[in-house]
Amino acid sequence: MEIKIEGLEAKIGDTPILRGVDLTMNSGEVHALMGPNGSGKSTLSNVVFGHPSYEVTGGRVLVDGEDILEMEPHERARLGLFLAFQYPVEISGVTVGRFLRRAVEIRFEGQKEVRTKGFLKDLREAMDFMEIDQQFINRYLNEGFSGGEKKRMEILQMLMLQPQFSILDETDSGLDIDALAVVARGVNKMREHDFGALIITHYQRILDHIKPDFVHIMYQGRIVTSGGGEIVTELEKRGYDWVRAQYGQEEEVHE
Amino acid sequence: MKNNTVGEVFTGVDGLGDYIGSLPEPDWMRETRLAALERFSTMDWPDTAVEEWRRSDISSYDFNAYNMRGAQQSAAADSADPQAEPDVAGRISFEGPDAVATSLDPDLASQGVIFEPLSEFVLQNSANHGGNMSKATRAVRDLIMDSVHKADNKLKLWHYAGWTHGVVLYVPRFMEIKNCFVLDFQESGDSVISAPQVFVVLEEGARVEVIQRVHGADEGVVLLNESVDIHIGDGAACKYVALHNLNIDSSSFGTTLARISRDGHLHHGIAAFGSMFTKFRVDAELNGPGSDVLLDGIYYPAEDQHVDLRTVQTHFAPKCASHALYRGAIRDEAHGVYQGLIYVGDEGSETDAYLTNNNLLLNDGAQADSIPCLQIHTNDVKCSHGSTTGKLNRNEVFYLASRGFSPEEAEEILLQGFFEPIVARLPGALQEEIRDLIAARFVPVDIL
Ligand SMILES: Nc1ncnc2c1ncn2[C@@H]1O[C@H](COP(=O)(O)OP(=O)(O)O)[C@@H](O)[C@H]1O
Ligand SMILES: [Mg+2]
Repeated sequence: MEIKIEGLEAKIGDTPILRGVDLTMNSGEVHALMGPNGSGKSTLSNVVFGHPSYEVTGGRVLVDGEDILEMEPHERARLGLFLAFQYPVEISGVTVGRFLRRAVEIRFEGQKEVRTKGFLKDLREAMDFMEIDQQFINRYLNEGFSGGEKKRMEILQMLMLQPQFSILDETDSGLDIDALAVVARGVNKMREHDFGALIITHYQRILDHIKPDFVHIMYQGRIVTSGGGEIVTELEKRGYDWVRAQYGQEEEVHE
Repeated sequence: MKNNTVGEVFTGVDGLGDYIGSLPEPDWMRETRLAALERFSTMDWPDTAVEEWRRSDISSYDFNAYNMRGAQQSAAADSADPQAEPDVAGRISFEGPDAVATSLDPDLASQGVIFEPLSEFVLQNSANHGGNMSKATRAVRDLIMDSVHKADNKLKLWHYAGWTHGVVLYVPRFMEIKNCFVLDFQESGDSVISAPQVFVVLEEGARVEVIQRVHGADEGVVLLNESVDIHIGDGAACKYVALHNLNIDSSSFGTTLARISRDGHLHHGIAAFGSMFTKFRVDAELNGPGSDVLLDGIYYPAEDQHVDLRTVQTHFAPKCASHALYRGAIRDEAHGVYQGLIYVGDEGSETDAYLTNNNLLLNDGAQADSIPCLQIHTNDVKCSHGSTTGKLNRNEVFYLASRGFSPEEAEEILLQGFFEPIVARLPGALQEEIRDLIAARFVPVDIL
């Protein structure tokens, strides 16, 4: 799967947030996206998935050559895209088991029979792998989960849905070292198959577990520089000040 | 005793005295009706100047334009169903005021459980026993007189003067009954008053589950005016859940009053789906220390339905707990009203009470009023209320869409999920039925 983002511009209300994002990614590759808070990383994730709060004002998002910007969010998901949210919402009254059974059914519609027994067995295995207690099957999705539990639940969903490409939006934030290792293990398991990921993060530590092929830095709604792992080391050492100094633009002041 | 004039019809208000006179009832019951009639005659219909009725205007009803008749005595006996259903301790089915089928697990009957149509119960206990009145009869009479005495509006007194049919469930001491009792009320006809009365009397330590269904023909206009009186003895436990689903031309009025003694438990639930106009009130009186109460409510009015539900948690004893959770989804031009009162008397120290009301407005034009109220006359209590009114959450729909759910399916799942914490704790026999009713009402609003 090839994802090609070209000159993507988006605003919320009257405020432009993405100001021309260019990024090409393929399944089989791991990309890291870094950048200071507020630079537009979550917005990019949301816009790629078609969140209704954002208005796209320019550019294209091509998946295997097809522009997905006119598609509804669920149609985009059904292409095999997945988003692990920075702040997963709580879905009251819907159990993890019921939610995932239906999501898996939708994902593999017509492809493979989702048998009751097979599904539960797969789910139990994936939960063991993610070190999530089996009792969570009967809990309402994300309701009352701790921050770390929510993040693990996102990765559990990814394992069950087997997307070809995932955006992980700060899945590592707020995790302790052990939880981080579990999350990374989930992502690396996906890499056994044809799978690509865009990992949005502030920290080097997750990238020690999941080696990125490419690293991009976003600032003020653009990808301002790209490279390999050396950029991460640079950031750890110097912070974002050099990015601001080198790529920052004065806000245009309107009367 | 007079003969029962089967099928004789009386007008709703003016015919009330004649109706009472025509019934073949013993004096102890007739006296309760006359006591109610006397208070009824001195009262005006509740109007919107009274807070409880402020949002539910009944001034356009001409109650005299509705007719009533009493239950036919022999109907049930003829069709008594000896075939016990699994999971059902007993079932009584009514068509209009007539009991058309009754069943009771014979084991329970032999252990002293009484479960029968009210008119039969009244006839069987017809002698002027005086001091020899059976325990059950005395309990029933005391419940009526208590309710007549406490009634603060004319509709309720109207019911006690003119009830048309009903059920008595009496459970002796320490009988724990696993299977549930089922009451089916099937209503039909035009301009017909249906005024069913349910008594549940649990002696010390008894335990039961009761399901009440009120449904009706697709056509016709029924005016339901029901009342449920519950007595929960020391350490007894009652689960009572009512599903109301009359047609859209009908109206439903009803009151439930449960008295809970020391260490008793009540789990009451109401699911209001039908009727153009609904006004229900559920009163839980915690009279003995250590008792606790859970009041659940589900409503989902659509089109121009009006649903007004009121709960009252009355703490007359220390160390009691009560919790009300009412959730409503409101569609089209419908109007949902919830009024919740927590009253703690000066004996109610160490009370733990709260009430929660959540409303989902599914489109512009839908309206919800949420009026929680606390009246607390003692210190050392934990009482709170919370109410929310909102729309389906776009971020939740988006989240589900990002997992491949179509927006329609996502909205439906969220709506089911909104009610699910309540549905999941109702009796198993009702859960799927209620989920289906919720699903049948669903129309996507397309908020993505
Ligand atoms: N729903 C929103 N309403 C208003 N402003 C928003 C909203 N979402 C994001 N923004 C703004 O867009 C900018 C980019 O935010 P975001 O994409 O969350 O950044 P990042 O994920 O890189 O921290 C920020 O200035 C933020 O305040
Ligand atoms: Mg972010």
